[in-house]
Amino acid sequence: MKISELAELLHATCVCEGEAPDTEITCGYACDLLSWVLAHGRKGMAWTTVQTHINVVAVAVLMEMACIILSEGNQLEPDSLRKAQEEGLAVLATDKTAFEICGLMMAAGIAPANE
Amino acid sequence: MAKVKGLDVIALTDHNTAENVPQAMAAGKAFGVEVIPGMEVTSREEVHILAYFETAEDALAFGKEIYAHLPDVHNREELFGNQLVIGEGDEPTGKLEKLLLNATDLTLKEIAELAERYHGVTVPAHINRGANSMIVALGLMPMLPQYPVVEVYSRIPCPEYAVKGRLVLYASDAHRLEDIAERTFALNLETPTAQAVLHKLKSLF
Repeated sequence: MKISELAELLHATCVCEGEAPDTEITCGYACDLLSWVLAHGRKGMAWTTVQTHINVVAVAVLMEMACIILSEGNQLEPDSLRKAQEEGLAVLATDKTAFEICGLMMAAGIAPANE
Repeated sequence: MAKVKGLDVIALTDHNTAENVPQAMAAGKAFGVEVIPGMEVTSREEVHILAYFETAEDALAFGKEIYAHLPDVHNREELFGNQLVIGEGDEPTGKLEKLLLNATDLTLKEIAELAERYHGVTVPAHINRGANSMIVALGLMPMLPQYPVVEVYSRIPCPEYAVKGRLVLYASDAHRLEDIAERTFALNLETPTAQAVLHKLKSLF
């Protein structure tokens, strides 16, 4: 599934376009402790979080993720948005909870990251 | 207890409140122990960050703003214990309604800016601990704000990169009397006062 298709699936708004909207999503993940994400992140991952700190962008870029999905109506802080734009990272936002987001992603065939 | 342990300066850093600071400072004066007015704030990211001030007035004013940024979730004494404000003679004079264990809706940056407005400094707490720490919650030590001073929990390892170029404070994080540290950590100061400590810390920002 492409990032653009994921946005449609989740009825999510695109907060930051990202340099490659046709990137294929490889897996999904939900976690709010960034040290954990650093340990479990994967290239091409679609990661949902409530965190909006600039490090969220740094971690996603470091792990070469496909996109971040901000859940529960959270918004990126101004610094974070700027960084996402600079780095060309795709950021989606929705009012849905992580639970709903993951449910929708898995039902659509996006798998958990294989260890 | 601080007097018994021969400590010159301690900081009172209750979670998300400074209401007990004036009484603690008065008690400190009586016993010859300097008390720095402070607080341990829980940020939106659920990171604990220490705030130290020069005066009780500054700490209390900051504290009132912090309290306003806590969610309107009330304490339940049977689950979380009581949240008393202690007055003279160790007598409780009141209690705080909102659950102080909660996180404020302020980001780390907003907390740092707010503390600065009240002439205080912020120091990330126990950056190396498993819970509510900068490293676990935010993965890498964020560069902004600069965080020239950090607090490290001495009993477990701390990655070198996180403390490089920073002043490290080792504190007790005592929630009980018996957890108050021995006279093990020192800062070089002209005089053992809250002002001197704040001055030293501020010089690094």
